[in-house]
Amino acid sequence: MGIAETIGVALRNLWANKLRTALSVLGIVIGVASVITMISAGSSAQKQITSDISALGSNMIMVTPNLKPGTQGRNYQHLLTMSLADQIQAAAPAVSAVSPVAQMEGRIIAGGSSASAVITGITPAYTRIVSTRIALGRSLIQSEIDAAAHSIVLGAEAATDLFGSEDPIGRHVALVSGDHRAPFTVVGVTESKGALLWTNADTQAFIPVTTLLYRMSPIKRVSTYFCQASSAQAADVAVAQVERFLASVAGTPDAFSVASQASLIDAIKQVTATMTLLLGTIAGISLIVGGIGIMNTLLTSVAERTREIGVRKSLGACNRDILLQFLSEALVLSMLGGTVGMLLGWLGGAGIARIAGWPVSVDLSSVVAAVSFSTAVGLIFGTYPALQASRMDPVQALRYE
Amino acid sequence: MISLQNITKVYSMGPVEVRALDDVSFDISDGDYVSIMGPSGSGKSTLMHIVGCLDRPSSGRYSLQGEDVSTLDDTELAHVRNKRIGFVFQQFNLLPRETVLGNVEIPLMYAGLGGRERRRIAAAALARVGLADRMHHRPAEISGGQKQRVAIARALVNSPSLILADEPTGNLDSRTGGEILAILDKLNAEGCTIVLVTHDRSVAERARRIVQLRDGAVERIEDLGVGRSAGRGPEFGGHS
Repeated sequence: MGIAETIGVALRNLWANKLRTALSVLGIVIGVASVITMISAGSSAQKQITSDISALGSNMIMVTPNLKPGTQGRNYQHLLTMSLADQIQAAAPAVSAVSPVAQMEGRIIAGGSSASAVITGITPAYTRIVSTRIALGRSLIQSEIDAAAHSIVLGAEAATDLFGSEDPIGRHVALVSGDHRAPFTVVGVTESKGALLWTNADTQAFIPVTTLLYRMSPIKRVSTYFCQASSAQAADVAVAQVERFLASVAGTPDAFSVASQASLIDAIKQVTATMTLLLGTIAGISLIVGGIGIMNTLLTSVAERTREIGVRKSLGACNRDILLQFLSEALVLSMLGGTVGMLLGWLGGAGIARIAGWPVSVDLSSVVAAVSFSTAVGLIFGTYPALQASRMDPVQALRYE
Repeated sequence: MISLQNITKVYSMGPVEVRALDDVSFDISDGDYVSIMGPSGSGKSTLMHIVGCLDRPSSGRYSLQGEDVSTLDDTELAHVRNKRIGFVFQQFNLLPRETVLGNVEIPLMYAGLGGRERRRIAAAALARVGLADRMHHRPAEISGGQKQRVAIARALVNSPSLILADEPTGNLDSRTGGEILAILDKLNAEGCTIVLVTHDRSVAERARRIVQLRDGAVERIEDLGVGRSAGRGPEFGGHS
């Protein structure tokens, strides 16, 4: 008997039991849809995070005291000085710029309005390293750093909060942090960049790092050194040079953590890949449950059609014909489920990405994997009932009431 | 030519051995019409299953047109059933989801014929039993007598060397049963070898010979006279 006829018989039998067919297909639909949804949501999230990290800066390397449990980073905080920035620059030829950065919580007051903001102390190199663009006025200049001047560059959102549509350049504001209160002159406003990961440059305000350290904050320590590798290719070399220098300064490689954007992206990718695998596996288990549903349906069908099997055998069907007939029913069920599940999974993945504001990313390989997995599930769980049907003794089967 | 030599069938039910057939031997020549009779438990069904190649004898030799079929494997037996044996059952055994035509096509499908040829041959077989106008009905939509005629069309569609009818009139009233027997008479007159299993003497007497079974053995073989059934009985086809 040909394949087309076998599938034709399978379709007629499945059609004759529409509700049962639909229910057993549903198991596979849910399985495939959830696998594809999970994997595509995972890959959407990964894309978003990766692009966020890329947007943080260009060829950026972040040097922070190593505060991981079990390390001695806290003992080396006295090393976090302004001059360390220059030393890093001098010791690492692959590093083209270094900006010491310090941050504190603060409040900016302008006339009647005020806004809370993260006050970030920077040097001119910072703007270049994190690729901040100036929308109005100018960025901070070296002479302001040297003089610990009271100049301030506002984040786009902070500027709007304080001055609305008025031009803030040249306006005076008061900066309050803890017990300190100091007057500042607005020299620039940054272009809006939006929230990236856990930071939002738009709500920050930037002042010379020297002003922050020596005039505003009781803590006289730099919190992070933002470095820039001379090129993307030089990033790894730059990291190694910086690490070697810092290890020699501290006398231990554990004192500082040196992370490039690329290594950050790699780390994040690893985390999201693990999460995706985990979610995909859980979803995959539901596919197996779907396979059990198919097996149950087929076993019922084989039992119900015992007499039909006997009749077909008496008319010349050999064991292989019966085997193929039931296997093709299993395949039709699982492929039908796979196709519907694929569409639903695609919609689900796109829906989650849209709600979360991630780029839509439905991985073709996840679709291929889910559909071929569901087909395999159909084959595996269909084999036992099909074998049972094919091995039936025709005499017994014909007697079956 | 069908030849049964010393056919024995033993079923073991746990420790107990049941001897369903015990040393059964007889021949059926081509074009013959033989009834197998006997009370229930006499081994009628077992003999029919072996003659129909649905089952293998425990010992003995069964040859169908010179070929020993008692030692064939499952696939070869399926092939023999498909090509050389046509079954007519008491319960008709039509597949309810297939149309009348679809039911008659099944043996042709397992013989590997293409759709167009299948339909042509199946339609011709239905015309032979007077059901050309019922081809596209479902089995549930036709009468018992018509169902049995569909079953006969299905049995003869592959031009078998033997038609095996197991109580073909058992589920029919006497008039309809008569029509079915008339069709079998006609097929026999046209050269078909027919083996009819029944417990009903009047039905069995349509044949040329009656093989009487008792306790799994041949009690006697009655010869009712050569040519007795040939050409006898009313024309069928107009009685639907």
